[in-house]
Formats: sequence, C-alpha cells, structure tokens
Amino acid sequence: MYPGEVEMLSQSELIKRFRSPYATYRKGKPPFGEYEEARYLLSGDRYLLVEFGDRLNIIINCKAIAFEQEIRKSNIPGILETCVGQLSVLIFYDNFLISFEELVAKLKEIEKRIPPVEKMVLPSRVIEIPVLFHDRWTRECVEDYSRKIKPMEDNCEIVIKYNGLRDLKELIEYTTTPQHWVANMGWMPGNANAFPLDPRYEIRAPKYNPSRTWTPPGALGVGTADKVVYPLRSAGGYQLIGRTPVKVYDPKQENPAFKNSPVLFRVGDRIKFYPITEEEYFEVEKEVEAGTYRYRITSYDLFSVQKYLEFLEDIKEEVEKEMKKRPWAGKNHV
Amino acid sequence: MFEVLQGGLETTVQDYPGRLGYWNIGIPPSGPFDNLAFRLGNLLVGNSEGEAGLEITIMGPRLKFLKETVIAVTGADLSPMLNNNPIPMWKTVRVKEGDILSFGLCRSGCRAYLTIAGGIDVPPFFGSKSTYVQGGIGGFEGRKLMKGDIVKTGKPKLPLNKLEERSVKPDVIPKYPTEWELRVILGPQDDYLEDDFLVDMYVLGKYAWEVSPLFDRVGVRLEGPPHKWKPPEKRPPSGAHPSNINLVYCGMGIINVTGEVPVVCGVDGISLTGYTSVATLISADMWKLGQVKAGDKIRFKAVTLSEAKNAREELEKKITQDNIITS
Repeated sequence: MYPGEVEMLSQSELIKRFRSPYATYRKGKPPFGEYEEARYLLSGDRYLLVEFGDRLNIIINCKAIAFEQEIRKSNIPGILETCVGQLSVLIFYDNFLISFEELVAKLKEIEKRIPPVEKMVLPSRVIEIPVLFHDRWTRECVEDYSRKIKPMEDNCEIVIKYNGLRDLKELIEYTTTPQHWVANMGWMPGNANAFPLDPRYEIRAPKYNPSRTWTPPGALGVGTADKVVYPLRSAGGYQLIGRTPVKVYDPKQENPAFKNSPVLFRVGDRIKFYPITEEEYFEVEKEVEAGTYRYRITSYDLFSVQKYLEFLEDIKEEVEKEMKKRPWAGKNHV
Repeated sequence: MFEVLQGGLETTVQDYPGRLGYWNIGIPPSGPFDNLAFRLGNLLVGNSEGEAGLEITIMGPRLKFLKETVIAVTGADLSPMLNNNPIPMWKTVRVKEGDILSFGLCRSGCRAYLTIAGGIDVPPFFGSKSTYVQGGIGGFEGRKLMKGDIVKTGKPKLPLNKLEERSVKPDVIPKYPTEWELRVILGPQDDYLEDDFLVDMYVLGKYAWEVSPLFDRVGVRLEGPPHKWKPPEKRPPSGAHPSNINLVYCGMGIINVTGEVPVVCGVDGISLTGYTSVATLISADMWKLGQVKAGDKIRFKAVTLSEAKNAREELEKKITQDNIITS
C-alpha cells in the first residue's frame, strides 16, 4: 500500500478491505437462530471468533461445545487457547505460526465434522448453591447505587414486575425450581453464565445503565435470561436478587471442590439454587471460612440433548401458556 | 532484596507474557501493560526479557535496597532518583545497600518499569509471577506493594560489573506523546455501526477520542460523540440498547462500546462481554495503551492482518540484545 491510498478508496471499498471476508450476515430480518454456516469474525490480529447463531439456545451452545472439543482433538499448530461462548468459540492463535486464512480453512473442515448435536451426551455435574434471597448486602449495594449514581428501585421488585410475577415468593420459586445450564464461563475469574433448562421458568431482566461500580461477592444477578454468581467484588450490570455465602472462585484452592481448578463451575454444569434463611447463611459462611464446607456436587450425571429436546416438546404448550404472562414476550431482545 | 518505604499509586510485580491459558475461566494474562519498555528493561540488566520486574504507575514508590545490585528504569518518565539525585533512564544503574530509589513528577507516559538483575523472587501462580490485583493472585501476595513489604530478588545472571554502563540504543527508545494513533483490526461486531461512522472513527482516525479519568489495567474509557448505530432491521440482534449483544468471548485490546462509552480493554481486561466490540487493537500496539493517561487523545486507524503481522515483527525486532549497547 502506498501513502494516501486508503484515502482514495470509497467507503464500501474501505470496509471491504478491513472487514473479515467470512463475516457475511444473511439477508433478511434478524434474528435467525442457528446459521447454516458459521461466521468467522476478526477479533484483533491474534483472535478469531466463530459464531454459530444469534439467538441463545442450548443447541447452538452445544454446537459450540462440540466444535471446541473437535479443535482440541485436532492439535492445530499455532492455536494457543480456545474458549466456548454462548453461541460462539473464540480461538487465540499465534499469527507467526498460522495465518487467519490458513486457520479459517482448517476450522471450516472441523466445522463440517461437528457431530450431530441431538446425539450428544455430555458429562454434566449438578451443583447446588444456597441463596439467601433479598438479602441485606445486595439491598445495601442497590441503595448505595441509588444514592450515588442514579435512583434505582429494589432489584427484586424490578425483576418481579418485569416478568409479571406475583411476589418475592414466586421469584424465589422461579429461581430455585429449574436447573440452570452453564453455557459459558469468562468475564471475571469463576464467573459462569447460566440459563434455566426449563423455559417455563425463564425470567428476564434489563441490565443497569450505567453499570454498578461495586457488587458484593456472592451476589446472585439476573440479566437478559442469564443468572450469575458474582465471584469477586467487582463492577456489574445484572439485577441483584440474593446472595450466596459459598465461594465460586478460590485461588488458594484449599477446599476440595477447587482441587483441580481455582473456579467452581465449568461449561455444561447445571446449577440448582436453593433458598436458605439468614441464620443458615451465617452458618454456611462460617463453614466456608473454616474450610469445612462441603459443596453439594453430583458429579456422575450425564446430560442427553435428545432427551432434553423431548422434554421441551412435552412441555411446549405449557411454555406457550406461561410466556403469555410475560410482559416481555415477543419483544426484540438477545 | 528491597524494602518498600512507600508503595506509590499502583506498584505491582509483573512478568511477560503473563498468565496465559486461563482466559477460558476468566483469568486474564496480566503482565506489563507496556511490554516493550518492560522487556527492554530486562535485557538491560541481563535478565531474560520476561523476568519479573515492577510496574510503576504515575506516582512512583520509595524503595530502599537491602543489597547491592544493578537496576534499570524504563518506560514513562516519572523522574526517577537515587538518594534524591536524578538518574538516567533506559540505562543500567548500580545501587548499593541502603540506596533509596524514588520518583517525582510524571513528565511523559503513564507507567515506568523497574527491572533488577536477577528479577523479582515471588512464587509463581499458575505459571506466572504477574499480579492480577482484582483476582487477588500472583505477584507479591496478590496485591500492589505497600509500605513495609520486603521483596526478594533473584540471583543475577551476570557479574554486576558486567552489567554497568549498558543502555538501550537511542533510536529504539519509544516516545510517549499525548496524542496517540492506535492501529486496529475491525470487528468482531463492527457491523452494528453505520458505515460512515465506522469509517470516520475506526478506519480513518478522523476523530481524536479523549481518555477519561477512568483508566486502569482493566480498561481505558474514552470520551467522544455518541455512536451511530444501524437501525434494528439492518444490524444483528441486540438488547434494550443497540450495544447489547449475546455474550461472547473477546480478545485482548477490544474497543468495547458499553452503551455509548467506548472502553479499550487492557492486560487485566475482561474475557467475555455482552456489549459490541467494534474494533480491536493490534497486538503490536498494546504497549501504547499502557502509556496513555487522562486527557490524552487517541485516534484509531484500521490496518489489515498482514500489516498487523509486519507491525508485530517490527516490534519483536526491537527487543533484542543487539539494541543494548555498552559504553
């Protein structure tokens, strides 16, 4: 390229020059759900993002999981790390060892080899997490935001109203009945984004704008259709509805639950929240601090996508009925 | 070995390339924000380029050496002094037991690096000595240095007298202006913005964004005009705000548009986001982000992947023994 060449190009030529040639988004009205062919997006000069769809569902998430497993098996020289997102996989590579074009060609081959998601049976642990709902600490955090940043209603109230629920009791029921699928990790150490496997219990919440400057560790947040347990005191944007006394990130790795990793969750785990009283909260907290707390983890379980899809088919009518009660139903959201 | 008399604003132990391989559980690599100055500093004192040293931010610490050694200060000019007398930067300095290193005004850049012959002796955590303050891991007890800390150093690789009078070739020493041009690769979510806005702001660098007072190793917030988003029928799906998207993992150095505020993510940055990333810094320009501070201006210019690779080659070529001269 010679000096001034860029300035000579038209707008569309410029965009074409700098945008990934594999980013074409299908014509029509989004969202499309699962794409026929993945989009290969540029994420800097050393990261590549492979996107399989634009609407959160377990099929697309499992496709990303299967794709990542195939990449690991293939041992492509130059790939340094792979990360499973909700609907995508990020690949970190060494651009001195493999070019974007070469990598795309190899990954497209792998994409063709992704086994049918419906047949997947994944090892999936069930991890039970005690939660004190509408606790004093997250309430205090919300009040602090209200005083310092902008007026903010009680977050449980916001979530109850946004989802057309009756009261706190029903919010607790909706949060503690279904198992939540860990679709991805990332953001902060130990963070896991999980959504309910039973869509009858799907609740949604708008994100903070602007985001909080601090959140108590262990806070249970709801944002879009996800739930998260904040691993650390950190910024955050999800509505806070409770707090767990247990750790989901333990860099000291003293508790046996952290023997192999400083983070509790992994992709494909199922989280079951259960309600506790403030008294129980303090008891568990004491055990956690003393290092005697035993996490409730069922580690031998399998998750069959086929069986899950059959379950969804069985409850289809009930889901439709339930969705009619949701004020957000039919609105454009991710 | 040295004693911390004053910790300074944010003084941390870092090594290069940091804690790689844990991005998928949310642990960032950390490491020196300006890896160019840091790695050259290590070469000066005879260390391998990735050995642990100190990152010093704007207001430097006061350190008392408990053993004689050779040090080098590189990076931002924070007016380094030994026993209250100015010392040269980008050049080795012999220090005696009891000598006190301190810093004064920040004259240019944002982060200085102190490298010591033999490096800093702290236990590695997950393969790295880098401090990740927010996660409470690595470095000196997982935190920034504080008054009273006694920090151990490693064994120098070369005899100290062989390390004296070594300096970085003048033409290799980077400049730290207050107006920056950072090179980017478009994407991954560049198609959410109107084409003309995207081209002006993130391809041609027609606008100089201002660095807000909120900048740290996690991210650098920028101030500027509101973003121009494509109408909903012309962009991929988003949430309540056009910048809200499904959660995706992101590379280092993304320009993450949160609502209307672009945040350029740093070495302690987030690995996952629910906001659009319209462009990403090329890896060869990451060090520049470590030297910007509040009030600085930043223009973004798009480059192609091959230009980015050339830039990385050029950067790596600078970090070699050939660029260390003995006078």
